[in-house]
Amino acid sequence: MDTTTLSTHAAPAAPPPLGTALIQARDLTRIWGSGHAAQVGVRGVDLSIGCGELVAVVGPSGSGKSTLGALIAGIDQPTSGSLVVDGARIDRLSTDRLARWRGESVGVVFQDFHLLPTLTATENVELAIELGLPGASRRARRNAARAVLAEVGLSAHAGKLPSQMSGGEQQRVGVARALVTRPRLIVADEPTGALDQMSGHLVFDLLTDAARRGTTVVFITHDVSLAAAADKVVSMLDGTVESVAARTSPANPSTSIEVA
Amino acid sequence: MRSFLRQFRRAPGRILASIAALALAVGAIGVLAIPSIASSSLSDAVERDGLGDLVVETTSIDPRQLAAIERLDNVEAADTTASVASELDGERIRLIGLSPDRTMDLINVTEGREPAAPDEVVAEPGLAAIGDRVDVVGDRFEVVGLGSTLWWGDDLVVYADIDAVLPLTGDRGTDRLTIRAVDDSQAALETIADDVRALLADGGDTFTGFPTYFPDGTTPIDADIRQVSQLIGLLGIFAGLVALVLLASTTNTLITERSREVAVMRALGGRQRRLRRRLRRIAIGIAVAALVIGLPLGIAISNLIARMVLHDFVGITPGFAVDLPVLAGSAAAVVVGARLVSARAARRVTTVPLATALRDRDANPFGATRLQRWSTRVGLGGLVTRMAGRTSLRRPARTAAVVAQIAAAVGAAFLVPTLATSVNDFNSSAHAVWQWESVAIAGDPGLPLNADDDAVTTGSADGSSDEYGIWAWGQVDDWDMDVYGLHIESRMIEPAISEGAWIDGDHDTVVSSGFAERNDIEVGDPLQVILAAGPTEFVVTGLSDDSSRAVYVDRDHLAVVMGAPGMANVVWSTGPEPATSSTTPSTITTLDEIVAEEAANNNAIVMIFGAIGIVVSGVAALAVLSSMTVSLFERRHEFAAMQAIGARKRRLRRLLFIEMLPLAAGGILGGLAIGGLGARGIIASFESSNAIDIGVTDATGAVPFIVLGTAAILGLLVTVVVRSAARRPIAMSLRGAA
Repeated sequence: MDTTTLSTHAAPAAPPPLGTALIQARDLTRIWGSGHAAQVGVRGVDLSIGCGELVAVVGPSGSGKSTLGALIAGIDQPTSGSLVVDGARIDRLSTDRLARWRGESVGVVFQDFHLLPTLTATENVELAIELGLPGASRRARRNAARAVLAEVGLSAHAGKLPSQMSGGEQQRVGVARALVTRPRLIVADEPTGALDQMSGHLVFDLLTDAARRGTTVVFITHDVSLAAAADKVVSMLDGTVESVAARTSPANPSTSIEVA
Repeated sequence: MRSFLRQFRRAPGRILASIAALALAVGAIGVLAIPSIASSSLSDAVERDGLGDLVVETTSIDPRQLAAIERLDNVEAADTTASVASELDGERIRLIGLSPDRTMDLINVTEGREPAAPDEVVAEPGLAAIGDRVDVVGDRFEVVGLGSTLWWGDDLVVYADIDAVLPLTGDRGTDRLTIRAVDDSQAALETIADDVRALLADGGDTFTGFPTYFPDGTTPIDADIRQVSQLIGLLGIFAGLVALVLLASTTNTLITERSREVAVMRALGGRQRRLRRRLRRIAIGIAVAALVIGLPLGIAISNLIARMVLHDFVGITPGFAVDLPVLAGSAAAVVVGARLVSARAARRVTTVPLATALRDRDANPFGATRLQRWSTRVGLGGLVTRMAGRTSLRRPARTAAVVAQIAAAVGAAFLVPTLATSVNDFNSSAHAVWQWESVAIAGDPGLPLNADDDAVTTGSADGSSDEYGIWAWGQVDDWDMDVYGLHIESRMIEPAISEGAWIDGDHDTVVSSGFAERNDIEVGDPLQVILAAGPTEFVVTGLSDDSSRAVYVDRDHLAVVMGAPGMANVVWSTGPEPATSSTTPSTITTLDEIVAEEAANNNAIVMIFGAIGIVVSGVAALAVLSSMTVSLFERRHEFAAMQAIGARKRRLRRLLFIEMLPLAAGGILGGLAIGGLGARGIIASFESSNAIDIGVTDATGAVPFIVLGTAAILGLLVTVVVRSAARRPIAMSLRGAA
């Protein structure tokens, strides 16, 4: 990926060593409404995720997976508790500072892709650079976007609009958009949920590659086989973390290390 | 009803905004009811006050002549009145003497009572209080009541018994005749006028003014109402069109939003016909809710403006009235309009291929048209600029509608000041030819002033000069004209002769150039001018560029034609007051006061158009706000997605500003063109219906304010939308979009 020019403009701080906690949640709670109408997203979540980990968040529908993912990605704010990501108390950041933090530090992949419909694949990826790394030149943005699209196998679709692409292709653009700024953290909310098996695996491989390169990847999934490939599996139930299991060896894929 | 309420619960703010905007538009359609409400109020006043069918100023009519008039064919009743000029608290007033057993010109006494003794009077409300005393030529009258009658409504007059007034008129006697006819058709009334004229001529008497006819129950300002009605009709139609555009925009949005829901129902086996019916009900629900608010609003608006019109033109305060046909018409138009526009949108939504509808959030994917695909190959500007441009292309119909709505609002906002500046300029130019500063107008009818032929110009101690003249009404080709009788060497006028020369003989006349042009009158043409006493012939020697409808003739010749050689009815002065006025009962006024009074009358018309313009402008502005709010609301998931990848508020604001810029520019340019053309159309209509030159002065001074105002409103809208988008958790917006 030719991002030389990009990296000089972006100048992100050097990542902490692998294993150091990138995400630390303490008593994290998200509730909508109040009284009888109160709806609990997550309640009292304590969680620690290290740098470069590939973490799967699993659980039944309504268990709070997506809410936890949204809180970690900074696209929702907790009602109470603290959330430190990459050294920043993101629960205390203002709207604009949080937006800046997201642009620089997080890549988000959505189940519904959420590509901007009037921009081509390249432009969608370029937009993430423009927002996250505002100093990058137009040429650098364009080159970086094309390079990352090539990485996800979409060179031939670079000029296409989202409406001209399949769901799998759109999701790969979504992953390219999340990868292009080389964020410390990628949060993917059921990235393969709307895709067929082959496209799903393709997208998942891109995320595991990113984790291998040192990016922390938190992905929410219902797919047991994908979760099994994660370094850590966070199981949720009724808004709380039921267990966190770390994979220790190929013979014994995961070991429960904590029960909330 | 249930589906409407369900839709309402989903988006109460937007639906309320749409209902409010549509209700205001429906209310604006209410201006169509103004003419009928005004006519109905006037007809009530005519009936109540016993307005005659024929009214004419005459020389004195004695009881024998009056009895003869009452015996004429088709005459049901006849009355004479007498009047004399007077003064009350420094104001020139007229004392009107009315017969106690009259059946016409009945006074509607609102306070106190009718006169019961010769020294008692009733005054127009506001002119005096009960118990005040009025001095008239040495006699004192006591005000015992306050009241009014339609003919003199809002004039400065007091009413007394005719027997008390007649001795005060000297030799003049009665000066006005009122007749009620059995057959009140125009032809029958004209026949009566001819018969009366002949009967009076036998006794050496004559008409001193033109007869006024009220055929078939018409009222004094029917012609004005007709003229204003045409223009009000145009504005009403405009308001109706805005209402339909608004309805179409709201309906389309609400129905399009449900594309996916409809697609799911279709996938589950829902029949198209049933789904369309459900969608149509939403639009009809909004229309009905808007009618519930809009119809009473329309009634209020029409009554308010009708009240302004009647108060300014005839001095009566109308009662509350409702125009049922306009009410029913606007209700039917809105409901049928809602049915038609929703049917189209519903058909479109239910015929989108099922797979597309299920896949796309709003069944309107970008890239479906060649133009949209071509736009992705144009790499002009930054990403934000490209997004802005393509978003406008995504919904071209809505983009065009927003531009049209901005244009409508700007058009109305530019039209009103342009009318005002044009009328102001016209007010100034209409009297530019006159050199006099003040005028004494004889308080009594006819030509009561004895003009001194030997002293064309009477010098005064203060260096000013006075001059006798005649200021009368005449008719040319059925047009009412100002007829000015001036000395050939008059110093009171500096005519702006655009062609030919000033008058130089008895039969010469100079005619206003605008009138001449519209009636194919040229220098050298013979011109018949009909005066109260009959027709007389002149030859056109010149055309005067004076924004009036006037003929200028020799004063002495005019006095002869009017049956009063050597007499006049005005004294003009280059000073603040004509020296001769102290010897004659007269009203002294200055040119500035006349200009101001005419300006006030013209401004009243501008005010009425201003009020209507503000309503139309407000409706169009609300339509813009509604369309833009709906459009921006639809794109909330786009904004949420941008925020999720790092866009800050200022970035979103920038995107929206760039999007709005071409729409606002197009709307403002189009609006200025519409406003300018509209003002020209309205003024051309006035010029044509009055046969005068008015001219258009574009209110260029208002343009910066209009541009800034439009920018400020759109800027405020963008700021509010972005702030509201930023306040909502991104995750929630994205979940909602999904």
